[in-house]
Amino acid sequence: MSNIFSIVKISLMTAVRGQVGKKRKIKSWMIGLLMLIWLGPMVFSFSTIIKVMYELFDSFGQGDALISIGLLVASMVVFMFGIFYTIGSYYMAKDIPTYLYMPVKSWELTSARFMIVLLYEYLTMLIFFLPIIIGYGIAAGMGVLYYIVSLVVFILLPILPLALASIIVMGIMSFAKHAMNKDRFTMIASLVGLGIGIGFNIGFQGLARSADNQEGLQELIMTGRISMAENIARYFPGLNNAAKALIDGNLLHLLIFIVIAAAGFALFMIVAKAIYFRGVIGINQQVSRRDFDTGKSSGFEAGSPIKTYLKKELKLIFRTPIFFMNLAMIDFLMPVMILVPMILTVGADEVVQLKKLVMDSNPEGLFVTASFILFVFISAMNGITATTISREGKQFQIMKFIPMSYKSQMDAKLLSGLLVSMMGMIITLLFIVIYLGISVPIAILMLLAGTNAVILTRISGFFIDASNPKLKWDNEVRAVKQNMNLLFNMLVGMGAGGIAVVFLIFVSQSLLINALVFILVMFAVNFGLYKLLENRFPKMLARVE
Amino acid sequence: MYIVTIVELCHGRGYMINIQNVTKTYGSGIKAVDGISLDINNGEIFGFLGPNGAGKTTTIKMITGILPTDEGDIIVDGHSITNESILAKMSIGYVSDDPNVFERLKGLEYLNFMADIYRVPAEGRKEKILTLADEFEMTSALNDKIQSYSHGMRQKIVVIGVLLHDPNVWILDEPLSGLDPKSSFKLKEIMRNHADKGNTVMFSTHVLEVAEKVCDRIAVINKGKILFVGTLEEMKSTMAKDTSLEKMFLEMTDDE
Repeated sequence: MSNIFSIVKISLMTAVRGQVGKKRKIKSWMIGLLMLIWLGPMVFSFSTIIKVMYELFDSFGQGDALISIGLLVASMVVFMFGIFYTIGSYYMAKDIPTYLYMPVKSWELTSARFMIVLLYEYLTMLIFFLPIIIGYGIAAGMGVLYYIVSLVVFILLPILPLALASIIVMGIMSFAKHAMNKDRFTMIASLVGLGIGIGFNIGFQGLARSADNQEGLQELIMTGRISMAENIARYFPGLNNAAKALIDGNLLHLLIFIVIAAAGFALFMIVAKAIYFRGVIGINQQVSRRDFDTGKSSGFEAGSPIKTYLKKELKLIFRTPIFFMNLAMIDFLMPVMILVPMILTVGADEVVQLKKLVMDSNPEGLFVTASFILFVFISAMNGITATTISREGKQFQIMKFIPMSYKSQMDAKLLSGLLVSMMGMIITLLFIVIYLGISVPIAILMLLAGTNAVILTRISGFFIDASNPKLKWDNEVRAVKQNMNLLFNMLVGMGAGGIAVVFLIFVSQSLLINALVFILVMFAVNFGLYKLLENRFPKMLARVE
Repeated sequence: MYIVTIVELCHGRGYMINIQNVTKTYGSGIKAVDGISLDINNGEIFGFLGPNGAGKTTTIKMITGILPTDEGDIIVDGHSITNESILAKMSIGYVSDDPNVFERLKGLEYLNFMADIYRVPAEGRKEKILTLADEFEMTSALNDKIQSYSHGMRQKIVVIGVLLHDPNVWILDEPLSGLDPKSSFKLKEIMRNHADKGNTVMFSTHVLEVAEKVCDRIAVINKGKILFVGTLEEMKSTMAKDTSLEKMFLEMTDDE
């Protein structure tokens, strides 16, 4: 046991020290305080949205469904992030090989790493789950017991999805020694892990459904004998118990939920003991071919400096598993996160009802701004530009000695972030437009508003990172995951999204005004910010030594 | 005669690198480089010697445009590194003391990146890359990621990268540490050939024997100040007969 806590302590200490640095201690505390101050209104405004949603759901007697949706979304998010976090923390982290020659057991090492990842997951839950707890609690007028149960659920909820993610990852990574290209194997492993998880999810739900045949289920919901809340909670093991414990204050269900979480963790430890080391050793075996063919003619083509710089940026992002998973993946996860519920609920009565309710209320203006809001959130989570200078690390000086203007380098870097986010945005938008049956002109307006959102966070991220890049790192994880700049840009994205929410609710929902503000005015704002960055960047870069 | 004069005018009075009263102070108030002036000629190998923390790397970083000067200016191949930085940088091939460049690029991808950035024409590019790779015995590794290279191989790929555009000024920061004897010999040979073509090679080193064997002229720097500039013979003439270079160096830097 003491080994576990030692590893947790050391891991936390290195994480914090890398971030803080002695001189900046006071500054860091200030920043932390500011973030707390910022988080308050954020959770509050999200809670307000949840309250409004509760009233909407409650209008057809399904208010409780919100808790189940919250539990499901939080579990899914924890699971998805879990896949990437665990690959990074259990396999890719630079300090892992150090433990291999120490007298540390595999389950001790993984348990310690599990706890570290769990801490990250709690931060995620603050954004994805806390507002739902508060919003529902206020809207449904829940008592003290609800909030106590909520705390227990909040603490336990991420354990099972994280244990499942870890087990899947360890299973796939145990084949690592057979892979020639370890980086590519790792990235494919993360995608396969995600696929297995979602497959498991669909299977679990199918199993639950087949227990009472489909038509019967619809009837049960219609007649109110089974709620939509219960139906949704079937998608993940244990959620139904958590939902019942929260809604009805049923402590027996809470107990069952605790047992399920504990069982998940126990299973994780058993699997770790059996296969973890095999994967770690496999992934750390470098393979090289040394088989260059001088007769080959490709690879020598000349290109413009900007193009070649952009290609270099993209290659480094897509080939470095930690960069790819932490920076770019979110853009491709989002379509999956949207697509899965769509597939799961196709034809479901309650969804048809909800869709009709939305489409009947002339929502074109809402769609344009919603597109801005959605993509400002997603693209702010994509940290390509918010870590663009930090990622250079010790090689930062290359930016300074190559004969390429700082502006050209800035453009290439911005473009790399823009391209990845745009790719994800177009796929996501396509799903939404097709699913909701949105007309082509409105879809184009949504695309424009979304593009503005992406450009905004690309530029803000660049600004933040260029003004204070984190160049001292020896481990890619520290360059991106333990980089406050990424978090700051998320806050910018949330701020911009929050303002758009307020605009939509309190100012106007008309198509014309929303299109004008979020397409034309935003474009002008972005242009102004770009010009400002163009002017400031050379000076900012010159300051960094 | 006239032609020489014009070339000399264009190239900062015939010097390839012309350091004019340059000072650099770091945040802590310590002068890392304290008002140094130095002219490095065309066609010579110039060694920059000094103990750890003497100001060698800081000076090199100012010449290459990585650090701005606090005072003074540096002219490289006729262009000010402050005011015409891109033109000055185009003339330089710089090998830093840390060869850990873009580890996830393959060797060939890195070389082609450098070739694009330094505008190496498409024509003849392949031959150039393959010839240099062959000289450093790196050909078979070109298709592998730099990540899989040893320290010495990484150094070699960086050296190949800066030679692709045939720079007029070649600057190397501690280039020989980590190279095996054969590669080290090869690098010295290439440095000599490069200088003999009228280019300038400047490198910093701790290893005095290297300076003795390779350099046409040297400068000794300590605590940010230049203590000596000239040929080794000139340096020896100021010291007692039969004093080793090591002893001369220690005496010089101890006095400070």
